[in-house]
Amino acid sequence: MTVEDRLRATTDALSGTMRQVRPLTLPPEQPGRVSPPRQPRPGRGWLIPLTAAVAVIALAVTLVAVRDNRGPTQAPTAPAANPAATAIPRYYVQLADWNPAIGYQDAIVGDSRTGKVLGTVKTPPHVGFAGVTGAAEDRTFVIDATSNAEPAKPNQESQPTHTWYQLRIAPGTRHPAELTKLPIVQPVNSAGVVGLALSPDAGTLAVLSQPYSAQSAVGPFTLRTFSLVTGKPLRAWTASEGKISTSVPGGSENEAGLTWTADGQTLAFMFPPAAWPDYELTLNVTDKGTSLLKDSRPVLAIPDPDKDDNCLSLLLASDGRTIVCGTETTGTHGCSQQELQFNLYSTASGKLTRVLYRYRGACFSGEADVVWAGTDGTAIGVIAAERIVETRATTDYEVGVLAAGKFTPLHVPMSSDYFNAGTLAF
Amino acid sequence: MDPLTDTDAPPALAGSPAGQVTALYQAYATGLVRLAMLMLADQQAAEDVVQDAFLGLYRRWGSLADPGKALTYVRSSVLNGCRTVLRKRSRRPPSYLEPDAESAEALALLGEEHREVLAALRRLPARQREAVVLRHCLGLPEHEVAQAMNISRGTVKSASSRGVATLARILKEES
Repeated sequence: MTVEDRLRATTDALSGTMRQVRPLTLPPEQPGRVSPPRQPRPGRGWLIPLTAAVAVIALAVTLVAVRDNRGPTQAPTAPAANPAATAIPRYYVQLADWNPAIGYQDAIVGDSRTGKVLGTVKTPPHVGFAGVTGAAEDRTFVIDATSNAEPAKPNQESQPTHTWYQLRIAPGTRHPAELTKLPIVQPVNSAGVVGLALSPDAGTLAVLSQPYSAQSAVGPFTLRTFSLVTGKPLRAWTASEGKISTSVPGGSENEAGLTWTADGQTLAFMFPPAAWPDYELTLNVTDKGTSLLKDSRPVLAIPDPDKDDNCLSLLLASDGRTIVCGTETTGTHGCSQQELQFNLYSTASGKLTRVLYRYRGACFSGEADVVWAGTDGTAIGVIAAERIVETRATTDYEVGVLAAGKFTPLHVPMSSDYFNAGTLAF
Repeated sequence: MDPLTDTDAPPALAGSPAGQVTALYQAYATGLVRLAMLMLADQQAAEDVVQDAFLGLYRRWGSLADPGKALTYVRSSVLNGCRTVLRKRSRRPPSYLEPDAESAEALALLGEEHREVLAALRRLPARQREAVVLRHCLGLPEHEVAQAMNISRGTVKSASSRGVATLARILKEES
């Protein structure tokens, strides 16, 4: 009898022992009056003025930093001169407080060196946060917010609409985080986003998406770039060749590991997302062409997910020459025989060049996820090592800097039970 | 037949919000309590979680754009509720990790082989446990597991296959 057979048999047996479920007890109040939709608070003195390019539509920042004893006079930290190439970003934005009806309700802005939370940005009314990406200058982030529009016809699945927001952070000031609506209009609103990446200079947003209906994809993947200033679409590349991949997005907005190189000229992504065999592709956005596959170049055949040297999570480093892979234990032997590690691959050869970091602790399963990859040999990653303590499983989830064989923990708390690509950005 | 409902078709939703939510509860509560029992091994706690999930649905009913997605919402809420219960239990001494007396009595009626499976399930990490329960115990399709857990379909595959492999190891060690 297989494990799956035993699971089904146990489920059937358990159903046989169940008592009759008690009736539902509802309170007398009217639905909708208990938890009305949040509205932006009027009269905040620190709202930034409306500009031609972007309109401030909602700011609901919990000013944790203002309550700090040091007060708001602390000088802002200047960004590094060339952070994409050398510096490890200090500030992060993490989506948190997931609600199944609307998505993530908070965007937490934090300082990974001190552990301080600078502010918590609440969602604008009627939308939930779904994905976040950051620029190399460590001050600008873009957040995708989605809402479910009414279905076009009765019995049709409702389709998500995407609204894009810029989150500017100003550590040490009275207003550490400001959320402004961007004038970007997603051409296909029902598209599921599987990749989002803000360019190093914070000028261009890249979005990889695929339109889908209730349970299946209905169109090809398309990679689009948008100007953050005007919101206008700049370029589009479509994977029109071959059959439509049926990878319907779940909850992870950067499943494809979309990222820019430091020069802002090349995008890299896994394709097809969440499927195997898959490849890491690079696309020079300055070249002509509109084909996502013909105009891209494969730089790595992503290792078999069932093998020990797999590549669960992957990002191209900003130098464009190195790929950082995070492995997962496949569950056969646990960490005793197969260790969690971050591996470096060369884009020139497609070969494993060295092990960036190997987890030495004990665990029976786990995963290593790449969050940010700077230059060769430096990255930010998440290690989730799972152990059994007493009669239950525990997961140690740690975010840290990977360099020269060392893992240096950062002060980034876990905001949910899972790590999902696209919910934490540096 | 829906694996979570034991019914052939979702109920027709009409009438007052309370009536619609109650109709959904009558159709889906048993299946959702089964889901929560697999996670918690405690029917009392499972029913509390499901009641809370439907109460949350009722309170948000007016803001739901698509009542057809109510089951997706409430299934995710049940998983969230189970995570909360498990987190609270994990802060208590090990003796409190076991189900209450009534549930323990009910579980005693199960065969030894089924109790072993439930105990092994409780030893899985949260993501693997949820993926295994939804995919293999309840037989939900991958895309519905992905929606309920707010993860991608690729992660569903990965977490459920790892969970099954880990279960095999645990069950082998204990046999």
